[in-house]
Amino acid sequence: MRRWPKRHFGLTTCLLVGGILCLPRSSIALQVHGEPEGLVIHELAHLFFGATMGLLAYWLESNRFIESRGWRNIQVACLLLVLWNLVALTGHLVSLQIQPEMITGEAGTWSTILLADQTPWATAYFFLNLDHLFCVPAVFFLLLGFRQLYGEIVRKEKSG
Amino acid sequence: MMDGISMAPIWFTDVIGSSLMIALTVLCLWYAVHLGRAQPTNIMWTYLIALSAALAAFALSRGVGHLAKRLLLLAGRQEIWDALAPYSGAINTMTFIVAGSITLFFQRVQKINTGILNDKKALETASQEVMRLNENLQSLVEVRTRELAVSEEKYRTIFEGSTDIVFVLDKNGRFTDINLAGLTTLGYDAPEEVVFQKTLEDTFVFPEEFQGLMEDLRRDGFVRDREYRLRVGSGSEALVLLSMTAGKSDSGHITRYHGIAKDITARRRIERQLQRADKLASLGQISAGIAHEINNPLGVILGYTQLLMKEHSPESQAYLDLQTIEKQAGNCKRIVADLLKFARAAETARAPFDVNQSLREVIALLNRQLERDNITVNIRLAPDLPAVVGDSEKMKQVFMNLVMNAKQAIADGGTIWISTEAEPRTEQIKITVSDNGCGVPEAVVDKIFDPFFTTKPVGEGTGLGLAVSYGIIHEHDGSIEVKSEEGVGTTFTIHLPQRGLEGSLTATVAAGTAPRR
Repeated sequence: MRRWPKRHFGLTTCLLVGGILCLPRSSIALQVHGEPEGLVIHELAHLFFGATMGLLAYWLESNRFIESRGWRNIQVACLLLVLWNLVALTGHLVSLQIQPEMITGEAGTWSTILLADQTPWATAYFFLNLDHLFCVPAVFFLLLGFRQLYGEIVRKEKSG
Repeated sequence: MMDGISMAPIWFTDVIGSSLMIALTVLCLWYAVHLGRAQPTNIMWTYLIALSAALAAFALSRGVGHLAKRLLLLAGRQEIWDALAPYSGAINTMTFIVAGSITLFFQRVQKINTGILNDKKALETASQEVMRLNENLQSLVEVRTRELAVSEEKYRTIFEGSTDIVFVLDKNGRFTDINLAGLTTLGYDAPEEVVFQKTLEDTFVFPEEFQGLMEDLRRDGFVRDREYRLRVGSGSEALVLLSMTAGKSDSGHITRYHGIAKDITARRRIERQLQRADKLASLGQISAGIAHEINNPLGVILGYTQLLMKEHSPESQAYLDLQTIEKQAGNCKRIVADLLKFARAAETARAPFDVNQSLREVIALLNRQLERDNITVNIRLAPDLPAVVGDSEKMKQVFMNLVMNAKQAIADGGTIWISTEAEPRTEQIKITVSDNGCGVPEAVVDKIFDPFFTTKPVGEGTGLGLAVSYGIIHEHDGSIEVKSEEGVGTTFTIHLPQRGLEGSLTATVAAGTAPRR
């Protein structure tokens, strides 16, 4: 294959830059990031994090780490985090369906009421907001796994 | 479907869950850090530290966010929470991405790390194997070295302790090693004088014999029990029995020679002396028999001749004829007497006498003749020479024979050395008579004591002088040896036993007809 002579790159670059400067149309300097973008990136982050946790759980399985109790608990933690990410992701999506007027009572207190008859998503919203029921056990199992791994090391060191 | 759902459970779950999340993730981080400290080189703990740190950051961000939200809403500061909420959410997002990225990245790193660890393990195994082999090799080398040292000492002892000449030559015949006996026999003091300095050929009296030897070695690879004459010491020679082998390399080329040479000079001399003694003993028996048989008729002839001479006038022809008969019969009688002396069948007086004195008397008697022939006599007589028991007159006859032999060998102008010395170790005295005359060819040395053997022209000697001397010396339980080299000179060495005076009273010994050995 014939190589493009180096001097042609410079010439082409100059022509492109010159053309852009001489023939302006709409601005292409900075992309504008609208409001939903934050939610989208957050949802993608949940997906990414959940996927990596799933991958880790699989990886621990395939590399026989789970023969150790500590790693087995960490694998459970990973699976719970996958679940939590799915719950959180869904919860964020469902939240879009809940308008502020659907919640009555003093905002931020436990006395607030979700008006269930105004949206079919109310029940789903309620349960999906209880995501701590997944992430707290996940981190608990993670802690349990760490503790057991540390214990194994200490025992090995003591047994010489 | 209910009309309204209380959000209280969500509120409580949020508050308690956020607090628990913070506490639990911080504890996770604490354990992860301790795992990392316990095994700093374990990449798994590094990952867990990073993961738990990201989770802790997430928990703090989210938990603090949630709690702040509740508090701000309770305080009626919705606007503040609205301002803070995006930051809290963004940090949460970032922590997810970080935790996920770390996990993805870690799996790749772990794969590489596993490969490195496997390589390390293989390397350690190989290293241990090498060390084990090295240890085995070291112990094997030590054992072999010890065995080699023992073997070396054993063979070195044999090599150095051997009384035979043991040597090693390079392919050119140059000495590369020789034992102490070899150095001593060849007349060297230190190995440096021989090793890498001399060749075996240098020691050969006849170089053509060496060439023949090397040809045989190249052809057959060995030679066995060959007799060669080697140069030893200061110009003398030694007769050796030589065996040699050729050492070859893997390619079949001769790289060295090994040899053992036994000095058989003394053994051969003794053998020759024994042969000579046997021969002379036989001759003595014959001579004694003949002498006895001739002696009686000669006595009758002489007796009747003298009777007849009395009956004739001294001026008569018959008287002159009888006188001739008497003279020749007398000569015959002297020869017979000499034969009897050789055969040790003559009467011998035994009395202590001074050998030095006998020698002086003989030299005094011959001194004029010696001076006339321009012969110098060097005398070195031991002053405290013990007395010898025997017949001093016969012994003088021996000395006279030896000195006269020396005189005749020198012919005109030369030196005769006469010496005596005591040898306390063997309880003998040694008498040496040497000359620098013409010497005797090696081929006839063995015959020199034979009766009637002479190298002089016919009529100048009966050939009985040395035979008589031999008989007399042996009659005194002594020995007489000769060393002669043609053109250099001759040395007669007499050994006589020292005798005390006990049993040395004058005694007449009627010796038997056969020489005693």
